[in-house]
Amino acid sequence: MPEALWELRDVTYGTRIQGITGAIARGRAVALVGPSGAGKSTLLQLLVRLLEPTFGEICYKGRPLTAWDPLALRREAVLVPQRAVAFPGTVADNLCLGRLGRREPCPREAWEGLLETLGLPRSYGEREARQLSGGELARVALGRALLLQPQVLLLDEVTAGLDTATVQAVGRVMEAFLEAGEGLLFAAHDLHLVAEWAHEVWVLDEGRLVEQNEVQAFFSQPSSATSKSLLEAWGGRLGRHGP
Amino acid sequence: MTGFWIPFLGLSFMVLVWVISRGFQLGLDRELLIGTARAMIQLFLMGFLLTWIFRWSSPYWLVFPLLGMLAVAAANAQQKAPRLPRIFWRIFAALALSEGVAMLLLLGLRIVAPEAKTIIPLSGMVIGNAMVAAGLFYNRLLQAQREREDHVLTLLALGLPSAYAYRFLALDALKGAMIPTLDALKTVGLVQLPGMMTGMILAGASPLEAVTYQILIMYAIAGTAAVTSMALYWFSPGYFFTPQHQRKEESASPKST
Repeated sequence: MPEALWELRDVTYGTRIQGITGAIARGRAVALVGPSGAGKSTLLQLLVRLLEPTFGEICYKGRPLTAWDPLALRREAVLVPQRAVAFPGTVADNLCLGRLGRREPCPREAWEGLLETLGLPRSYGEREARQLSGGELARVALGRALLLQPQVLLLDEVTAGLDTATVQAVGRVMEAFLEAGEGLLFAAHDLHLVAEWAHEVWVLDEGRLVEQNEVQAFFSQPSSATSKSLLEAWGGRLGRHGP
Repeated sequence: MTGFWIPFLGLSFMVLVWVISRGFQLGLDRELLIGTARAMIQLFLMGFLLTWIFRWSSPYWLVFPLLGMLAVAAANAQQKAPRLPRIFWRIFAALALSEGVAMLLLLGLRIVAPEAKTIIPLSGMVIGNAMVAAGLFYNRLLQAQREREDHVLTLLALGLPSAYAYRFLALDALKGAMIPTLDALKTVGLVQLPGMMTGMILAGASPLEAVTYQILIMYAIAGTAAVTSMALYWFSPGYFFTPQHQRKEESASPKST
């Protein structure tokens, strides 16, 4: 059993997260799935201490989150929130935001190659960020996190409702990150993404962890009613639009 | 025509308002009656009060009416941000700071004499405008908080300090609170004469004399609006962020989970 990145003990946050206990192992990709309002975003924010549990304890790398400097923790484990936003300035300014905000250098070499990884033309660096489409902006938001060279990446439905090019770019980034990084957590509506990238699936429903399963088992023998209905809905969609 | 009769004759204007309100059935009778009566009662009371205060020999006693003015102004500005706890004292402190700066400059540079009849009206203008700036600042800040929720979350998730996120949230509010007084400087005298100047001219002062004071007032107002907004900018990050660089929960409440 690999060493745990996060250990959660009875973690509760109001009514949104209720008594979650579990561990997230190093080096694995963990998908958080569940219906809207299940608590996926809240859980991700709790893991990087953007929210404080009302009960229970979270440890990261063996130390309680309260013992971590929140800024140092969020430098190691970077969350990309659900709604990608543009900040004033160019795409390059947006990509460099995390570095420049810390007064660290952000040379052209740092972000230019990244644009390519994200599937965006190099010329986009000088473009006004506000002019980007939703999919392009989502990719820039992902790039913003990558430029900080985090050890763990937490993605909150970054591809929800976006075009195939974006989904593919995000997939490439996730693949590359899994090789180099220490861990990857992602909340997803799209079970394609889960099937393709996750090692492990956490199923949330109304703030509770109703299933924690290996990815093959999640698809072949789901143990919770929530998983079954998620898979059913997904299968139904495949039936209508799929091959 | 002189003396106390002037405002009563002025009531003829309010009769015009009443006739128009009735003619168009605007249903403003109540507002009209209360407004007319309050304006007259409040201003007469103020007149008697000021006459009494102006007779005080020592200007140090002026601290008390000034504290009263600051309290009323802070209570008024507070209404723009009712859900922020203990906001009254922060606004009070910001207004007191800008009043202090204004008096330090006006008296220190010997621009005006340290007398009740200069200090009280000038303070009234300074505090009144600082009050508007304070209300505007919180109005803008709370609006920015609603509109930039996702931006703030993004900055904090990137591990940037809450001071950075606060700056992003509040700089526009700071600017927004200072713009009206700067705009006023650009148009003053072109369309209408400010009330103070009009009053001085009606009371027999020469237009040039009135203008010198008006310029002073305008600059003082712009300066103190800036000081007020800056003070509130300093006093307010605690409303939005915790020491752990988190959004305060009443401000957080993510829409989706």
